[in-house]
Amino acid sequence: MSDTPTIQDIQRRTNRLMNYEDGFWDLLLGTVFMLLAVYPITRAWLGPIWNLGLFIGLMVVALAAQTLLRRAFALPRLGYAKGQRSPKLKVLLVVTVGLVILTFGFVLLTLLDNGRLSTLANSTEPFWLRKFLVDILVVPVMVGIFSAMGYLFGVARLYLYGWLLGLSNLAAAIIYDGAPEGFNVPLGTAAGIILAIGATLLVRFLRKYPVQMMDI
Amino acid sequence: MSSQPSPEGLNQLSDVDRIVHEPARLMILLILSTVEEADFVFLLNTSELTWGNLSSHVGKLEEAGYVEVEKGFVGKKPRTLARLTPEGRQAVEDYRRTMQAALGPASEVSK
Repeated sequence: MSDTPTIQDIQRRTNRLMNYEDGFWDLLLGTVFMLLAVYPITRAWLGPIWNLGLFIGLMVVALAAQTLLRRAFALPRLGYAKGQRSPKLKVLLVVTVGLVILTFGFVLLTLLDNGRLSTLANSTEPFWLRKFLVDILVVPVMVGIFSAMGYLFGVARLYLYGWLLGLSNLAAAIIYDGAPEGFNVPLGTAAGIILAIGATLLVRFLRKYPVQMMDI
Repeated sequence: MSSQPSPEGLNQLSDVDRIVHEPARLMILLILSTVEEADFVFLLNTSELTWGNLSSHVGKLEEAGYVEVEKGFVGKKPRTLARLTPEGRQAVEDYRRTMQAALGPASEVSK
């Protein structure tokens, strides 16, 4: 123990080790947004309803895979810890999950939008504001959500993810002039960066934390 | 201008719980205060202590009644879980109050 940590540092480190050290969370996040980037392509094949069903199904599979892979690879190396069930943490968890769902909802909304949402803006506003209002609003929402998570859990890269995902969504709206019809390149690029970070973290994690055979 | 610790607060330093006051044990207690329970591998990785140190300090905390240790198995692999007892949580809280009273709001040493 070279530096003297504060109580907050210890709590953040504990939360970080429990959830963000192994890179699996980043891989899950990158996978979900890559699915969103591919969404327009599969929508053209399957239609909107089946496509939404496929998307939700694949998200469930991704979540199950992440849970199983964490159990198989991360737990034997990192150890087991059960988070506290204090009322404060429960509220935090509910708010976090709610905000994450809201984020996905926003992004899906912009993917499915056919220009109808721009009518929400006042007709006296500039044209670009009317056209991209929802996409512009997604940016501070994403940045806010991920920054809050980054601050609470002491995970610096979450600040980057907020900007990456918010700006990529806006860039896609500008480039494709509304909902894309093929692969969403900006969103796919952001997802690719997150996947690359997740993979790097996983490799580093596997090297840094050997499987612990000992027990006391 | 930093504020000075109060004489009354400094006197309380003599009453500080020396079981908690040891840095490694304080680290273990603070980690356990963040979770409901954790196994020794997690404590090892979070505290960055060695196995020997960890075992020794957890043993002292268990003797003092601040930590509860439960030995079990996951499949065929042994797993030892540790969790704070109510007395342990109270001890951490008392320690925090004692140190706050002793040191006051000052976090810097006057030059």
